[in-house]
This record gives sequence, structure tokens and C-alpha cells, in this order.
Amino acid sequence: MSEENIPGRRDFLGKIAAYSGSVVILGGLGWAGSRLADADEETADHHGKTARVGVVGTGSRGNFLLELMLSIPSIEIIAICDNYPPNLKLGSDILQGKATTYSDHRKMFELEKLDAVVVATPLHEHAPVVLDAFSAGLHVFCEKTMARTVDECVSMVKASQEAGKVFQTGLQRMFDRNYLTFMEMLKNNHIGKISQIRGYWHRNNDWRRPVPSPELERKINWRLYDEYSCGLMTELASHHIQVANWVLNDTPIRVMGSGSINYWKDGREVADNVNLVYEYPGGIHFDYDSMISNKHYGAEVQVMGDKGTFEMESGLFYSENPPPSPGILQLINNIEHGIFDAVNLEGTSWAPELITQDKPKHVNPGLKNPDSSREQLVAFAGFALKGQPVPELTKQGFNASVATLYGDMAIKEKRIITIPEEHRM
Amino acid sequence: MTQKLFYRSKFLMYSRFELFIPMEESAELESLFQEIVDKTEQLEQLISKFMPGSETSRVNSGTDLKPVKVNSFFFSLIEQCLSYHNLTKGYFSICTGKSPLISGFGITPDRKTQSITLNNSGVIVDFGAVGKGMAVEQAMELLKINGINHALINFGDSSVYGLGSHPNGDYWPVTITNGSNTRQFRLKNSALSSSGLHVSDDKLVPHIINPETGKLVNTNEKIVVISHSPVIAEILSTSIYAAPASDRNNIKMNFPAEEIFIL
Repeated sequence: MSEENIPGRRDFLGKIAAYSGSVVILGGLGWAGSRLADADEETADHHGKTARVGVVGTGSRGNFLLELMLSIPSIEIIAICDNYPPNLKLGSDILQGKATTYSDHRKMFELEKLDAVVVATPLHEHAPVVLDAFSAGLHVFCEKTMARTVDECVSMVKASQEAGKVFQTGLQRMFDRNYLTFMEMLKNNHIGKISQIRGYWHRNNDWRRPVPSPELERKINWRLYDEYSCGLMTELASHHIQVANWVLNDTPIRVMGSGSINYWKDGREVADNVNLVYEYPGGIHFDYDSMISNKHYGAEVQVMGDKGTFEMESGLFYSENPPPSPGILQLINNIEHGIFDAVNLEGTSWAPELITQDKPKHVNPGLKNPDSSREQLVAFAGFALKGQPVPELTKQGFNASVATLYGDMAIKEKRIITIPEEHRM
Repeated sequence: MTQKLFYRSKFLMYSRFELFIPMEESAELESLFQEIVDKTEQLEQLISKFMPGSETSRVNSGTDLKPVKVNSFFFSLIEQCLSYHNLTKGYFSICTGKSPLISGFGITPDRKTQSITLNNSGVIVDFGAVGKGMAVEQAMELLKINGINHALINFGDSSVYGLGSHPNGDYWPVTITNGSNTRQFRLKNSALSSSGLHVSDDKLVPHIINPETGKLVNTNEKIVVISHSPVIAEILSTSIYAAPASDRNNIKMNFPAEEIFIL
């Protein structure tokens, strides 16, 4: 299918062009359908104001976000905080010493005049830091997954609602141009009725970080220990679970799963491979697996409908049936407008070489690596400056996180878990 | 208002098959389209040289030059092709192959035993020049049997059938272009077939063989034939394209009802 033949695409790109810089069109999400232009750095009028941001957690992810925020004009980084001095120094170096440093986030919240906080601590610290942030009246961007336990997620969402503040989870695919294009195509019925989604995320490494001395093992490699993390589930799977929720405009009702440590037997506690089936209303399943001893297949989300398939990480669309030829498309358009005019058919005879098998098309040609990590922060700054909570964002973060944590529970408890209705927002 | 637009497409015979009917979507039309698809796939399974179990493949595997018994429908297709081979002065052929050059029809059908024998081991039966026309003719018949009065069938942009007329006019207007030449054709219960170079990776490449010389025909002409029959349109456009100017009138004389255009 040529790009021109994806109906609706031109309109959608037109909208994107109007909001160039970052994608903040959350239409076609099944949620809100609102255009959050306020969050766009190019079009939003913040009256010259910048969001005064503090950052808690300046490890590898936090510093990556710091670098991105330095390039966002609507963000001013006031202070940073980390309870591990070498990481705090790394963050301070990135900012060339221009931000105040703290080892205790409560002190930072108390002493600095902040609008918002970006939380990139290890997972088990998300809840205490975020709850303190809402108590301090701050808007919160917190890395995925929302928290280490379902109960923590519930209390964090409640706190955000009571505080009336923005609560955004770092699930950046919500701001990814390819994903947004897919959501628009979904709305326009390009792949028809969805009956299955498959997701996977494969890497080939031990997932370890170097440890300067043995007593720091659990602090540095927190991702490998059950007390702090659910491993592949909370660190990777939550992204694709959010996508499945988003695509199906629903949340799973049941999850079954299995996982093990079958390769990296190095004293870690979290599985190095997981396999799950999430069941959604209507008998639709999301099959997911993740491993870290083979990277051949990389990461992908395959959405399968009776009219077509999305490969969302790659930005590819496959049609089950061929799209109309240009001549016939013109004919249909003419008839819709009551026009009687000749259409051009530009072919020649059949020949074996004319094999036109169904080749995939990139939905945004030329856009191979959308920088949605940055775009989500541009959006967050916009939301924070506007000062209004964005319930849809909070809901996406909550539902993805809860489904992730119940998936982990299904693996560990070796049973099918029905997700309680009160945990499906 | 519900748009009266029923459109379906499907990859068949390595090409895009499209059916457009100016009627509202309905379960009846859906199942009619499915029947057309099923019948086309059955035809493909019978005549495709790419399908190992097809009658064509079985005949092609008879390189020991022994007769291959085929089913009666396939045999009748072969006999019809033989008569068109004669009517087109040999320029329509269902046989290709490397040297030694195919002489005559290339295969020998025997009605008594319902069998086909390759004339030499280099012959390959290939319905490429007529397969889509057969499929369009079959689809057209199914539409008529089911009481459809107006429809447009487009198979790979080269084999087209206009049943009845466009909802806003008296016929189906289509144009065919060759370079800077464009010509309009009015289809009303008639088929159009075009033959010429085909586009592959944005390049024009020849794909029609002159059976007299065994060589690919490489002229910039495009031949368009209008006929009541999609099969005849396809056979004639291919043979006129393949034949040198000196033979074209002789072929045309055998097809008085067909209109032939050179673009």
C-alpha cells in the first residue's frame, strides 16, 4: 500500500504538522480524544513561563531524562536528588553544577520552590517519593512502572486525585508518532476487528551494572531482586501492556503466566524469561514474552485484525487484502461525489514477475526513531504549566502498572489471576 | 445516507483482483464475492504453473514426452487455446520454453485419451497470457447469474470488465495511458485488455514472447482490445502485441467484432 492510500493519513499528518516539535495529539486513544496542544512546545503559549522541575533519582535513567530536559525550553531544572553520592555527582556534572543537590527528597520538596518533580528512582522507592511529592503539592512524572505493589499504585492515584495534580507514568509510547498514527488508523478501521495481540521484548545481556563494592550489589542491581523490582515485567513488559490496553481500549480481566531463571543463574531473584497470556473482555488475548539470553527478535507488538496487522515498534502496517488501485480509488471517490469521469488504469498484461505480494508499509516513512522519551517530558511540562490533572494519563499508567504486577503475581504464584474489578480503572 | 459502494480486493494469481458494485453492502454481495474468490482460486489451482499439484504442472513434468492424462475441463481449455492459437496465426501461445524453439502449438492434445503430450522436453505450458481473462470471464458470469446488473471488475489493471454502467452515466469510462498517449474507452458489458511493457521496480520491462522467434517483444507500443469476452480481449491484445505489423491484419480479420487500439 502506498502511503497516499492510507485513508486519513494525510489528515493526520496535517495535524501533526500543526503541532510540530512534539506529538501531543491524544485523539484516537479511545480516551478523551482530546488534543493536548497546551503541552506542545511549539504551539503552546506558556507566557514565557517554565516549569520548575526537581529530579529524584539520577542513575542511568534519571540522567538520560536530565539530558533530554536540558533541551526543552519549557523546563527549568532547579534541583536534583539522589541518596547514592556517585549518581548525584553524575547528575550534577550533567547540569554543570547549576542545580542544588540533595540526598533527601523531602528536604528538596521543602526547601525548593518547585512546580513538578520527575521521579526516576528504583521501583520500590517510587511510592514513598511520589506520595511525598503530592503532599508537597507537586505535579509528578514518575518512571514506569508506577510502583512495586498494586496497593501502592492505588494509594498514589488517590493521592494525585486529592492533590488535584498531574500524575504521569513514563510510558512514552503514548507520545510516539508511530504509535499515535497507528491509533488513528485503528480508529479509521484499517485493521478491522482485533482478535489477538502479540508482544515480545528480547535482549541478550545479563542486565547487570558494575558494582564498586559487594555490599552495594542490591542497591546498584536492584532490578535483579524481588524486594525492589519485578524484573522483566516492571522494567520492560509494562510498556507493551500499556499498548495492549490502549489498542483494545480496555484492561485485562485475567492473566496467566510462567517464568523462570533458565540462563542467568547468578544469584538473581527475578526471572530471566517470562511468558504470559492476558485475557481481555470479549475473549481477546495479549500474548507476551520476554527474555535476556537471545536478542534476535528484538522487541515488537503485533496487533492482528481481520483486515490487517500492525507491527507497532517497527512502524509497519500489513493489509490482509490489497488496497484499491489508484484508478479504482479515484472511481470510488468520484462516485461518492456524484462525479462521472474516466479513471486511469495503468497496467499491462499478467506476467509471473508481477508478483505483488502484500508488502508492509511504514506508516511514517522517514521517521524511524521517534524520540518519544523527550516528547513525553515536553508534554509533562505543558501539563504542569497548565496545572490541570490529565486523568486519562493517570489511568493509562495505573492500568498498565496493575496488569504488570498481577502478571508477575501469576508467574510467582503459578495460578491464573482474575484482576479485581476495583483495580481496572 | 448509506453509500452504494461495495468494494472488495484480494491478491489472486499474483495480482490484485478488484470488484466494485454500486450497491449497498450486504451479506449476499459478500458471499457472492467469496464465491468469485473461491472459483478463481480453483481455476488457479488448475492452471498455475507455480502450483505443484496443478494440471499444468503435471503436464510440464512430462519431460519424458509420454502423454499425461488430464481432467476433462482442463482438456477443454487446452483445446480452446489451440483454436485461438490458430485464429491468431500462432501468436497466442500457452507454451513457452528455451531452445529448441517451440514449433507450432508446442503440445499435442489427444481427445480420445484426454491426454496432453509435450512436443519436446523444453516446452513449458504457461497460461500467463490468458489466465486473468479466464478469471474475469468466470467472475462476470457469476455476477450475471446472481442478478447483478452493474459492476466493474479490475484484475491487475490490465484485464477489466464493465458490466452495465457507472451510476452517474451510461457506461464505465476508463482511460489507458502509454507514455504521453492517453485514450478513453467506454465499457458497457464489455471487456478491456491491455498489453505492453510492464513496470517492474519503476522500469519498463518486456514480458511477452513472440512464439515465432522465441524472443521477448520489446516495443513501446501498448495494445488495447475491447471485446464482449475478457478471454478474447486478453488473447488478442497479447497476440497483436507479439505480432509484427505485417501479420496484424491477418489476425484481426478473424476477430471482426473486436476493437483494437494501438497507443
